[in-house]
Amino acid sequence: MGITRRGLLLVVCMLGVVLYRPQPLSSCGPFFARAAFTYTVHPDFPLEQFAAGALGVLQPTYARSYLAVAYRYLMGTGFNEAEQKALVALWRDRLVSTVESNAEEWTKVWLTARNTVPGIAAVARIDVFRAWGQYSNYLNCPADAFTTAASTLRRLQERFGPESPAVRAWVQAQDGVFGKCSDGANLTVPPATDPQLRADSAYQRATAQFYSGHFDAAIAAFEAIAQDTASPWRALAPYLIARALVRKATLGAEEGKVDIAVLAQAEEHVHKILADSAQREMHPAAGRLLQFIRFRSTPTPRLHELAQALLKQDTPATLQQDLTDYTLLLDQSLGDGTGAAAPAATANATVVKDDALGDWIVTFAATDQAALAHALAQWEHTSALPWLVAALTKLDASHEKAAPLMAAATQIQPTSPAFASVAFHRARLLLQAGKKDEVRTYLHTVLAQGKEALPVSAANWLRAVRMQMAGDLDEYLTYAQRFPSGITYDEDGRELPTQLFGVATGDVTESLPASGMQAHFDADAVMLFNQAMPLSLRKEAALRPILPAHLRRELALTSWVEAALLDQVAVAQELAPVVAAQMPELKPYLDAYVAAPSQDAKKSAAVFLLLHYPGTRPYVDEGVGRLTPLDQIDNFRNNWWCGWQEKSTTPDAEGDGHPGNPLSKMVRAAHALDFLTAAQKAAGHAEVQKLRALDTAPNYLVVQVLAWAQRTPNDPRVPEALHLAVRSTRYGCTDAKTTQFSKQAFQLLHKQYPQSPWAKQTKYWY
Amino acid sequence: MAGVRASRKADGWRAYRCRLLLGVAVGLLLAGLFLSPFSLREKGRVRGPLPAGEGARDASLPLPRVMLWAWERREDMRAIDPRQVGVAYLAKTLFLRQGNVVTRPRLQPLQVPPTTVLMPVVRIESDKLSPPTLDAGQRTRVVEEILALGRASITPVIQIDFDAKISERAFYRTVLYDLRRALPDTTRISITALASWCLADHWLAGLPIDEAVPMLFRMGADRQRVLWHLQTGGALRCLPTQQSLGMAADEPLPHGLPGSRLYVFNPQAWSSASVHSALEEVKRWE
Repeated sequence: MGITRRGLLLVVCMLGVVLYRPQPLSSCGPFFARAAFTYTVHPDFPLEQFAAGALGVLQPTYARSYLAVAYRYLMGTGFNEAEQKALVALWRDRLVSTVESNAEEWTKVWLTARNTVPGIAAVARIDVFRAWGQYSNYLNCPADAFTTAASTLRRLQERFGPESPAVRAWVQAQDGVFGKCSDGANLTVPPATDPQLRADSAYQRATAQFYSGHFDAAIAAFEAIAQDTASPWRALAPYLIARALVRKATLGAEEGKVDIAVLAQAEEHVHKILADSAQREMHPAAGRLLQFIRFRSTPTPRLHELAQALLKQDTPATLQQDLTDYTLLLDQSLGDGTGAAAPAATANATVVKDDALGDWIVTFAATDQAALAHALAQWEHTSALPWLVAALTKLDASHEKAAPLMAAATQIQPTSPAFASVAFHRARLLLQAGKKDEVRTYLHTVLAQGKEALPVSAANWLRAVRMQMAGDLDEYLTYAQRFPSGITYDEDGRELPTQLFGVATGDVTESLPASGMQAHFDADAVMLFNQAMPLSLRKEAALRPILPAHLRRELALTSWVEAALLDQVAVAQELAPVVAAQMPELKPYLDAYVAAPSQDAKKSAAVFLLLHYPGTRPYVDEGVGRLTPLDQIDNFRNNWWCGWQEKSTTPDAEGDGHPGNPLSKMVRAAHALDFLTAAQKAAGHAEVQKLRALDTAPNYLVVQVLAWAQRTPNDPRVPEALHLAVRSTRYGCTDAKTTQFSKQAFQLLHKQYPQSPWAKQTKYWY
Repeated sequence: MAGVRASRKADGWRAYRCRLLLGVAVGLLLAGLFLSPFSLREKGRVRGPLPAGEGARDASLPLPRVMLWAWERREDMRAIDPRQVGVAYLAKTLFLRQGNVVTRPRLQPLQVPPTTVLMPVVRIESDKLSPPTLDAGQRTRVVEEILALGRASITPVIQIDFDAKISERAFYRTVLYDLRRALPDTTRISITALASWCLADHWLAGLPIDEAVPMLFRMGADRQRVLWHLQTGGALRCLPTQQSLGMAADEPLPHGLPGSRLYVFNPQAWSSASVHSALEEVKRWE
């Protein structure tokens, strides 16, 4: 027998197929896009609005820089256009700027110039950070070092020619200087006869000492330069001596500590510069250095100085740095309890006791009873608007001071920067006092105000309060739907959009939903849909024209799923054509459900639909919800539903590690819907209990399919259903029991339907 | 006739060679069938936790049971008891930007008692607006940056923190293998992991790592599923021979897993009170 070449080739190919093992397929996170209806740590974007005085409903959890800005507006002083730009620049720096990215830009200036010098190898990058102590580093070579070097190179090239050996030698020495930024080798500076080159070399040696951390040697070198009347660096030298002293004080000591005595020397030196009119060119830089020094040498007096400076108007040149320093000093004194963390109790805030701005910021953010008492006392003493807002924010309707504060609140006009905050708390307190009719009337007027008075999040806060007083279903639905202020993946808890100030802050490769900025249901509305409203009423809501089409679709589908799961056949029958009209792709499955002759057959038809559409679930999603198409498996396993979870122990109502905003909790506490009858409430409660008893989706679906297969083994849909059920155990919300269900479905499929194409496609259980 | 005999002999040799080759091929084919995951003999093999691959090592790391993450902020942890608590400190962050690696070293001071067990953590992030090329040059640079830390550090364990997307896993896998080859045997590798990596996604199997720490906080989309899994008694084991967990101080877990090494992240600077709370959390799980 001979072997043909074709046969051998076939064997080789089979070998290749058998022996090839494909690599296995298939972030904290992952994070989904979510609608931000309100924010916890910052106001609405764009921040230019807030800088211009559109304060919205001020949150105690806002970062301190926003509260400082709010205080000025509430005091009636505000900020001019140039100051507003400074504020936005500060927030831009804090939210998106990174020192390592800036450093890349700084070094480019020098490297671009330096790499054009012929005869020397190009340098790709410079490390601008140097180790400090055992664990940390510091920015050793900032921007001005590189711009100065680039301009010096230009000067030398103009004088000596671009290909001059002198220029090359200077550049090579400068490479050595910049090597000291991180941890370079010894510097070699060739001797020079030309006086200017000698002066430049002396400066290179001095800066090398500076960057190497040899501060005493650097000071001595700069002192010599300061005496050299021929040196172009003479005017700069005294300032650099001060810089060297500052570095010696802050970097020469133990990590994290400051040598106050040396810092005092630095301050004395800076004062000499500022007192010398001959050094007026260096006065702005010296002034900034003095602020740097005093931030560290006398933080408490500096805090008070800054508090005063921030209340002065028309200070665009210093506002950004002053507010930066002020909030950093507050953080240092009180802890960085900004935004989500537990705010400092007022009892600990003695450092701001005599500082009007700091006192208000700390009191507004604090949540203890002492903060309320202090806010009330300040309001009574000053009648100032910031204290009215602070007191209202903390007040309970039963407090003895509620009446006078509410009376004062009625005087606040829509043109006031406090309007949104006061309106919200006034409504909240009226609701607490049970004055629902008054709230309805009041909010009707308030919500008619335009965007100038009510930024988007402010309107959402007010709608949340209004929703709780809905007198009927239409009223409820009117206020349940809200427009998001933004869309965020919120990967780091800062609630940022994916791009801010032209910088990516989130995964821009994920396409944001086109529907994102449409109206959606917020968490409070969703909670009431899912935990209080009976199915019969949700069915009606799905038909209400007051809702936009996409929300009617969401309600119709989730209600149908719930009805099918709970065997509420009449409701499911009624909803089936409604869903089919809105989602034609489901029509064949829904028609099969309607036509099914028995309850069991209907359950099978429902399960068949669910298996084909992993996006189906018996509850309404908040915000933009699941964005993966309904019929597709979501890569992050957001498919079908999970079993009911016991109450989380986290303090965060949203359950995503975002510490709860106290106002959020106040508003989002589940209230019974007053317009529900007792029977409707009871029905809603019973339905919720039944839903909670359902197993997690993969387990449930497999059990249903197994029962279906047993009842009607010859149903041609059964093999496909078994295949899809096994798939659900891979991509759904699994638990310890899921594997056994997966195996049962797998084995039944292969045992009873071995020739079915579905068996061939089902190679594993999970 | 000699020519005919020679010809027949040549034909015989060719036939013999063909049969020999065929025999070898069939033998290999049969061996592959028995070893292949597509074996017809073994239907429906369970996709359960995979056995430790060749890269996995001894799971007992020289670390305390509780490790506190010290992130990029000023941290004065001199009040901790180094007999009970170790510190995993962010040492540097590497940003992968197109073909480059931009480094940000730790810029905030860290103070700890002298005998504290310390573990440097290197965080890797992909630039969102300028996605990385993930080429060989970038990979080499990442490894060099991590090695630089290892040489400067006296710790026996380095931790890598990279929330690698599916498209980045091949890159990350190769980085870990390159790193393992370059590091001394005495230096172990720990990585953080998304919780989903340890549930039904087994891509960590076979990696040359000594520890994988699922971060059970800020889980975003995975939160509900993971908590349900824990609530119903499910295990969360990233590597077969070791179990560690990560949590956040402001997000305690309703269910813990006994016997775990616990890493704790604090969104604020550590204080005596928050360290105490972390230790109480560990006790709650025992």
